[in-house]
Amino acid sequence: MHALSVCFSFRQKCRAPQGGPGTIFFERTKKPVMNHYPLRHTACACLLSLGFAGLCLPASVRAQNAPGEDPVVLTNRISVQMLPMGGANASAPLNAQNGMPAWMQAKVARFEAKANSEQGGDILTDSNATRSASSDGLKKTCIQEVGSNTAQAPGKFGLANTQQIVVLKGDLVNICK
Amino acid sequence: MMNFNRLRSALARCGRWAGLLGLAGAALLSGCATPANPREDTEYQTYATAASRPTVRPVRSVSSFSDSLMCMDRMFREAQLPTTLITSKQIPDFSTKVPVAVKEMIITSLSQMSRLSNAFRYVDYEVDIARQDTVQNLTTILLNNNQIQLQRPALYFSGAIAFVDQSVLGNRLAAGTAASRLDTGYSRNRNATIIGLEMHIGDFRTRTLIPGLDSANEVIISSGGQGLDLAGRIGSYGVQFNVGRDYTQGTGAAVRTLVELATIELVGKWARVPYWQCLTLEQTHPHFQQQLRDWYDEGSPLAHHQLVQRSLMSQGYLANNGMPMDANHPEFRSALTRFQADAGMVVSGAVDFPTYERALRNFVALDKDGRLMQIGWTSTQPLPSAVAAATPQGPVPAGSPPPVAYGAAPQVRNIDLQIENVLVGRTAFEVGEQVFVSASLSRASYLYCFLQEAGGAVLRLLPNATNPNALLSASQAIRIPDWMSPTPGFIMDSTSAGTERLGCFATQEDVAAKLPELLRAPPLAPLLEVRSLDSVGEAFARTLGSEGYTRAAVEWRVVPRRTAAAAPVAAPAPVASR
Repeated sequence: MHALSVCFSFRQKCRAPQGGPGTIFFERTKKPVMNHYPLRHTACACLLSLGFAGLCLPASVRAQNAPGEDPVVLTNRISVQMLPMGGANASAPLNAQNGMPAWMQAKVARFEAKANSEQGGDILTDSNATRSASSDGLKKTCIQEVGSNTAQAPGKFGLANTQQIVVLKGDLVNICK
Repeated sequence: MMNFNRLRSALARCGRWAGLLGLAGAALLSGCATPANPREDTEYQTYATAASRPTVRPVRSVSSFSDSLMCMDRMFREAQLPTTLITSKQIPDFSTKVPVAVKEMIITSLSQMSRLSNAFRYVDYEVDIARQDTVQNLTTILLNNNQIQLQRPALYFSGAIAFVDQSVLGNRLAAGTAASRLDTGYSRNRNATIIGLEMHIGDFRTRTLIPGLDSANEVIISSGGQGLDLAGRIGSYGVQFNVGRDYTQGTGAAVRTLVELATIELVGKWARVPYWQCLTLEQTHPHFQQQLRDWYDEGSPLAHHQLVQRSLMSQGYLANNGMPMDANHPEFRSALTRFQADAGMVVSGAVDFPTYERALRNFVALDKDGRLMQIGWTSTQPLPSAVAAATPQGPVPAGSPPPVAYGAAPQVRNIDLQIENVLVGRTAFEVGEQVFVSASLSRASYLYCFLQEAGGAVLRLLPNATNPNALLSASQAIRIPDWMSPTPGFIMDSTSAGTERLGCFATQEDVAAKLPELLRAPPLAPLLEVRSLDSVGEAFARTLGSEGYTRAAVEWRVVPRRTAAAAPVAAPAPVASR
């Protein structure tokens, strides 16, 4: 039993790698005893664990790997591809709420019911569609508007300040001949 | 005369308007000319610091399989699975609809399966030149100077979020009415989406995926909502009313569920342990958390406190002296924080829902109809309804703690000691060989560990100068020495042939002052006049009584160092003794 106080001097006994910056060396010191299990007992004379690297050990102590260690020792030049390869496509949050929220749909349902009733009020329907056509030589422009707020009221500035509720009960078709 | 009065009245009105306009103009000019004075809002601003803080305590992120992960951890410890180096590829999201850190979830799952067993150690080595940070830069520097020790993984995870089938099911209902004084509208919708995760385990040395080690699972997340819109007139007043309630199950929790299930299946298959026993726990029921929440809502705060208190008594965290304790009682808070630490919770010292759920989740079972039911307790009544023995219906996973009933006598504390070395083809250590031991506690306790060398000298290993605190949690194994720490403090290697023993003693309270000759003496040095572990045990027994502490020991044989031509040594395997 060696009870050691913490020693921060690093005693390096492993071979230093040969090669320049950007070179990484990989070599196993010994074949593993078990395929999937890390090496427990190697004959490397240095403490391979970084955790134990700070410990000063007597020369008589044979170092072993701690549980869960299978160190790689760098001896040969290996070029690691460190170029950016293009990241994966960024994901966007899933919009699980498909369509209109229920509270808004309830409001729409109310207006639809109102448009179909005798108390239609200010709700515009397809019967309120205004159609206009203009021709300029061979070019003809047909416009069909329902509840448009672009038309200015006489003597007013800005957009028309009227309620913009339009309920179409069917298709709105305009054939421009 | 009439016209004159009218003219005077009109002039007076004009004067008033002119005055008002003048005042407004002056105020506008003064407002534009002078800057706002923030000091006038000082009192208001002082509330910002408190207002910016979250108002709900953070909780641990769990899924239906979080208990299964803990079960796997116990199973691995029971099986004495050696530590395996493992890593993972990035787990891409091919659907581009699930922005979730799947790889990090895998790491968390592996870590949670290794708290007690040290079963997996994750190799974290990413090289991405486009994202250089401190760790990557230092790694490059240290590698080039041979000052970092890379570890070779034995296994790796591979996989992807394979698909998202959105809105596989969807229902919508909308209805409205209109009358002369009241209009109504109602809407309801719901839909279901499927997320699929594929994962595999590969052998790193050959970069091949191991046949049979696959996991392909799907989970359903759903959303729904209801809305009501009312408008009408009451007399001459108009009324508008709109309410809605929606729920959307998040992708994060769903993917965590899939990842935890996949890691359990994959490493369970790889390690050849009966992992399915951990997947049949009651806690994996998808309604478990919501059912516990319903029971929590049924009870009052006093009932919550008393239920948790009695649960702590049954699990041995709190002495049952018959005296009720309020929530701020020091003894109760100490027991509660120990329990929360052991349960892997965010330690709060408060009886909130996560604590309630963790304290009572072991007293829940499925009835014959497959519904969750309380065993021995009710939501509103802290007294045990029936001290029924907790007899699990399914197979008991290996290493599971003994079943305990709500209101029953407390469990006996347990210390589990294991030798972590893999002795392939050998049954004894050689002189000079390092020994690695781990200890786990059944509940947080003060732990003192001693080593009896082959020569008879006894040393105290824990606590020591590097790890001076003796109070240790049960949520993680204690490594002796801590070979994963940069400052383990000591190493254990055998200096002479013979039998060595390591013994640990656990107590509820700190007994350093009661045993100064053992616990105040310098650590990692031979204790004077202590000749064996048995004499240490006798000292504990004399001071605390036979019931006042828990003891466990493990021993191993040390043989002379082999020469190259020597035959393998045949010796008894290391055994744990109590």
